[in-house]
Amino acid sequence: MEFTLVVVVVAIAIIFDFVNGFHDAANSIATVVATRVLKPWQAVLWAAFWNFIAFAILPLKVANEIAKIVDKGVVSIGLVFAGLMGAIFWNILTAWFGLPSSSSHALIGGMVGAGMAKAGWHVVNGDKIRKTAVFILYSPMIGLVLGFALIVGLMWLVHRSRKRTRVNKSFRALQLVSAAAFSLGHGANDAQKTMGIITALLVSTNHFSSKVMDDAEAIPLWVVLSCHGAIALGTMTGGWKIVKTMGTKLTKLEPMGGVAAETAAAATLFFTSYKGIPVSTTHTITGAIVGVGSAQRLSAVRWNVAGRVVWAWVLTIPGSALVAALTYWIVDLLS
Amino acid sequence: MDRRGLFFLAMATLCALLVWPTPNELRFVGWWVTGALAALGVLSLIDDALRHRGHGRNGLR
Repeated sequence: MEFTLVVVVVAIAIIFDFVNGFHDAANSIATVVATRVLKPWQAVLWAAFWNFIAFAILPLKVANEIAKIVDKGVVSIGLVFAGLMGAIFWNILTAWFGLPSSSSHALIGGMVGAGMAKAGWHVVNGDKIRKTAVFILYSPMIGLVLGFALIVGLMWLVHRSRKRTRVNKSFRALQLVSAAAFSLGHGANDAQKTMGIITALLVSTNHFSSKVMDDAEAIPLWVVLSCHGAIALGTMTGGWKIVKTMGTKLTKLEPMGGVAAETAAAATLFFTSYKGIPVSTTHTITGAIVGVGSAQRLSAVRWNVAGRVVWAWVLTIPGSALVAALTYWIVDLLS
Repeated sequence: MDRRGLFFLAMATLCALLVWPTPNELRFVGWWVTGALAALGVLSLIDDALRHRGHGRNGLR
């Protein structure tokens, strides 16, 4: 019976990862599709490939950080189930109201809420939460500063060029590289969050040794491949229909702006993945797009959309934690 | 009023406040972002002031 429940919860975690890819696909491909560098089906294949291959290039430190958010002594099947339900319910709720919420923060909030409902505040790893919480503001701000600096540098480099079409052509080609880099960062940071949850569950049920929690390289390959495979499949499925996204909603981007925003966001994701900091890829690309837009003029940024993003930042962790805590109490009552 | 400069300075203040709860090994990120945003804010305010002076001169001609 326990094994069946573990399989069900692992499957829910992988579905959550798939939906994450589906939801975030547009972040990676919106600019390459909008500027007609690639057709939508080519763009999603390109992004999915880099999502999948990320495990071979970037370290798995984020997975370890997520696995340790709640004390491993209290992690159970019911707790992970409640955490995932909190995140899924919160994502559905925010999608219903059109708030661009972060799946990553919803997942972290879900685990924290379920952990607190089970054993109180002391089982939550305060250092990890602090690190995640401060980077809710830092990651988009790093993206913003880098995006601003890159677009100013690029504008300075090309401002004397009279051959506008040649400049645009070069940047259209460069978008392939920047979109690949962003997809790589997205695959690394987001797939590892689910990997961390699955690892915590399988350690708590004695299917994995507890040394997996301390050594990222010890995470079994099947977990790594299923998480990266799920996010890549989600990207392939989601990208088909979602093209009009942050790239066009927040501010209109030219090929040069697209390259600057994606490169800035990719650099931020590489740094945070390397340091083992879970961040939202959506927030990071949003910050970078705002940076690029505000280098031109502040009115280029649609502030009502940016304001909704900020509300989602503030509400996601407490909201998903609350839903997860309620789910945990219901599961506990029923069992 | 340069809204962009004020926005950058407000964000720099927020980031500076966040340096305190940031874990020690990552505080350099907080200082770096605060410094960069403050620099962008000041440069933007200067740029806006210079533009307005330019407009003023044009108006007198």
